[in-house]
Amino acid sequence: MRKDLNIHVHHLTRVEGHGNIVVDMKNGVLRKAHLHIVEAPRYFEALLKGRNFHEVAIITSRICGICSLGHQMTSLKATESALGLEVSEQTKILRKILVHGSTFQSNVLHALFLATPDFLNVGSVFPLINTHRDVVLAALRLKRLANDIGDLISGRAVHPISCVPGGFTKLPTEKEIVDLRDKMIRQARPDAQFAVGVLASLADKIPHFTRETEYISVFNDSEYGLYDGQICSSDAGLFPVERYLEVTNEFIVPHSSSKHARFNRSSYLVGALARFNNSFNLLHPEAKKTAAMLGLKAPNHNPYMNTVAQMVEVVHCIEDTINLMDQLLNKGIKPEKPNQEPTRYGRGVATTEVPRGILFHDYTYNRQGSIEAANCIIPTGQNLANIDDDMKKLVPEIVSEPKEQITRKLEMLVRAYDPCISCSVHLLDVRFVE
Amino acid sequence: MLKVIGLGNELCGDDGIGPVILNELRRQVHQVPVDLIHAGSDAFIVLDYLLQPDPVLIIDCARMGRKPGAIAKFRATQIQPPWINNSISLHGFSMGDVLKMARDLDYTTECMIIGVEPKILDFNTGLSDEVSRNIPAIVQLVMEEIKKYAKKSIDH
Repeated sequence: MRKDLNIHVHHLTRVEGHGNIVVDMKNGVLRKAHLHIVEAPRYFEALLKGRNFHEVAIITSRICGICSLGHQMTSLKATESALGLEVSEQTKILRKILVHGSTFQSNVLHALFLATPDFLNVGSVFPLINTHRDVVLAALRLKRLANDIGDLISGRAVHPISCVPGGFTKLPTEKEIVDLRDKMIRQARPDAQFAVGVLASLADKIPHFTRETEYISVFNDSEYGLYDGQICSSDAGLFPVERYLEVTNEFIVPHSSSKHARFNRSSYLVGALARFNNSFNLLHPEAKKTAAMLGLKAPNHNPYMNTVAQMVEVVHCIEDTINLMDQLLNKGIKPEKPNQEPTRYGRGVATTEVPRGILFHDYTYNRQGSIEAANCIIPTGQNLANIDDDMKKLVPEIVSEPKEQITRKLEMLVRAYDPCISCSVHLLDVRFVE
Repeated sequence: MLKVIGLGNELCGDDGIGPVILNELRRQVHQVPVDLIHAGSDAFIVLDYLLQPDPVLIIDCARMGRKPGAIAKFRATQIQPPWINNSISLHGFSMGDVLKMARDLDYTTECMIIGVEPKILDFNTGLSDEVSRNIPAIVQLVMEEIKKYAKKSIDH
């Protein structure tokens, strides 16, 4: 049995931003097993100070290019709560469809573009273009359909423009919804089933590892918790969103420039696996069938299975989008204007599930309708302590394996959480052909 | 129809030049057949357009080793194949990764890029003076391209 182990993965690949894996074992004693976050914090909250309520969601949607929709939704709901703006049922249904589109595109791309290369032991998605071109194209088609949803309902595929505090500035027509619904049935369903089949064929490549932790997600007793609801802890039950600080308990550790979080244990997990564990009964029946087919049962305590939970959610989001579109069409689209007349000014807190987990926005507005204070707690920060705890249990269990294999499993573990360490600058590096 | 895609994050200094130019164009392109697409910081969206038949013109902040504010117009095929280091994430799916993937998927769409050399990429800083003062020149360059394509489509 190996007594000493030293691993340092500098700038872990296939995650956004700069994170290092550091493992140090001496004489059989594990001294360190950490994900070091070395990215500088960006202080988005300071950026919001003094901004008018009309601008806030536009700014926060630019925190992240992938989760722009989730930040926008959470921001709108926090603003509406703070200013006493009621929104219509029609607005809620349209927003839920947007959240579904954002979730299924992110989940499918993570599963097929980022996790599948790990399962096939290839370095990136690029080799798959030659060996599994149909998989890549199916993922891209699902991504395009999600973009179509964003375009139609929010005016843009990324950084939505027509969903504003109090409702929508532009509404889709019934004909447009019918056409999109048709695409969901003809295109999204078969592509999702194909993607599920691909993942099922790779099930034996997913590492076996179990560590029970606390699972925290949005919970809503009338639907699978994504768009809105209370905070659910698998250990402690339900909490109103206004008490989120009692749940997140952020703290600082020396090896991370991002804060960690803990509640009833030394860490907790957020994301698809937490949602699956807490809200399994509320999944669409087709998604439950998919879970059974992929061998995922609630509760599941293997963080590597987060990818499988994501694929189950892809099926749920597609099926529920079709249901929500049916509801819209049954009721008929009403020509509503956004409700933007504040009835009060004060504090508002909101939560939404973005693909990587539970997201909180907390704003305080002054009487001019401008932000006095803001706090945003993103999912990746909440998962960091859990990743460290996973590593501490995993390393001793696999210490006798070759070092290369240990490193690979640790990288896969971090990537299973799909952490977003930093995001948003996408400039092009150019070297011209001479 | 030509797709003009503005790429970048308006909260990240000169990275926001793509969306800024797109906003300028919205005031000027009435009655010209063109699609203006705000891709924000999701470069992945561009891949979808590269795999469709319509020509694409991308306006993006580009590190070209030139002076801040420098403008260059080039074809995607003129760039050296991007150095791929497996560092792809959904968030960090860069424009270089997108071009590499489009090539591997055998895209045939005509793709022009108007690159603008950045000076600053910090959060909440706005455009640098060097980039700001070149906005009219960038808009003019894009408008020339738009009109060229519009004329082509009318001739056809």
